[in-house]
Amino acid sequence: MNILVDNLNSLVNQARNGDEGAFGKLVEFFQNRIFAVAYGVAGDRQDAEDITQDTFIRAYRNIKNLKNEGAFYSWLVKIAVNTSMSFKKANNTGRMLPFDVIPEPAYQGDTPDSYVEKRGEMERIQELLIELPPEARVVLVLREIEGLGYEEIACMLGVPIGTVRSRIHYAREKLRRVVKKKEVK
Amino acid sequence: MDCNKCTNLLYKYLDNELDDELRLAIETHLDECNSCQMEWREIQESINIYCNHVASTTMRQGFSEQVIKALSKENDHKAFTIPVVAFALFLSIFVLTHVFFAPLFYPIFRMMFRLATNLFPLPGMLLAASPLLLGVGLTVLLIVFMTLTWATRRAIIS
Repeated sequence: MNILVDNLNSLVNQARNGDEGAFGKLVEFFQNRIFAVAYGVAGDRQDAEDITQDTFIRAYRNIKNLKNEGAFYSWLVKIAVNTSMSFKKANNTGRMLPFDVIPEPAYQGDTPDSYVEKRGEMERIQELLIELPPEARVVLVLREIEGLGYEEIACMLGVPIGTVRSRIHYAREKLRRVVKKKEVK
Repeated sequence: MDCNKCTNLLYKYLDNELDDELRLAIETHLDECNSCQMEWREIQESINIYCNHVASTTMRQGFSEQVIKALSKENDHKAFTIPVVAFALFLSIFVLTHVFFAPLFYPIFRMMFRLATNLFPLPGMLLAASPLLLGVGLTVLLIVFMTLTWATRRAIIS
């Protein structure tokens, strides 16, 4: 673990000195996690790809301003969140997505029935992501995917901790109701 | 513990934010109450479905190469743009100076130029020998003059 951390810190240092190769390795290492954050906020695969790319480009441009290499990932997540929020504000069309663009996770080894069930779950979550306001999606993804504490989220978003709590509660309740509603159907 | 209190505390229980006593009370209640247990399962299941869905959407192959390519392109573009913009800026100032401003300020520049030639003979001779150098010198002088005017105006206003 320490070797990994040392390696990451050294890659961040090299990237700070303009080494594109080192930054490429950082992209490779963190791309899926940043993509998950972007997808959690955007709710659309194509938008999430664009946001992830913008996040890494912004990070590369500003990496010289990063003082503590150990904080690289949280800094990157912050950029991803800001990029996602501004992206959503700029493209707030409220469109519904056709199902063929819903991401298709690899469910190899499933029986057709379990695949259909998982596909159904996927569609429900997709609907939820479209229904939830971006502010609620952000806190949900930071809490449930990134595992951040309420205080960390409040600090990252610059909002009071009470707001974070109420947004997470709202998002979780909505999530539960969406899953429950579909089960009843 | 009653059902109402239990359901109100379920998310705090999920976040491990309860003290041992309350945690134990909730666990005991969940063992006994089917309705609260169902609610608890719904909460867990919905979060699991969400996490599995979001975490299972991975980035396509070749993304990092695409980012590096975009960065290289941006760097190349920047490396090309800066000198071009600098040259264009200088050229436009040069042209503006000689077409529009120089005739207006000619007497002042002439006087300053003569003064400079008398004070510093060698640069003065060089300037007199090369019309291009003279042009550049006049441009620089005009920029200095404009900057000083702007700075004086700003100082007076503030």
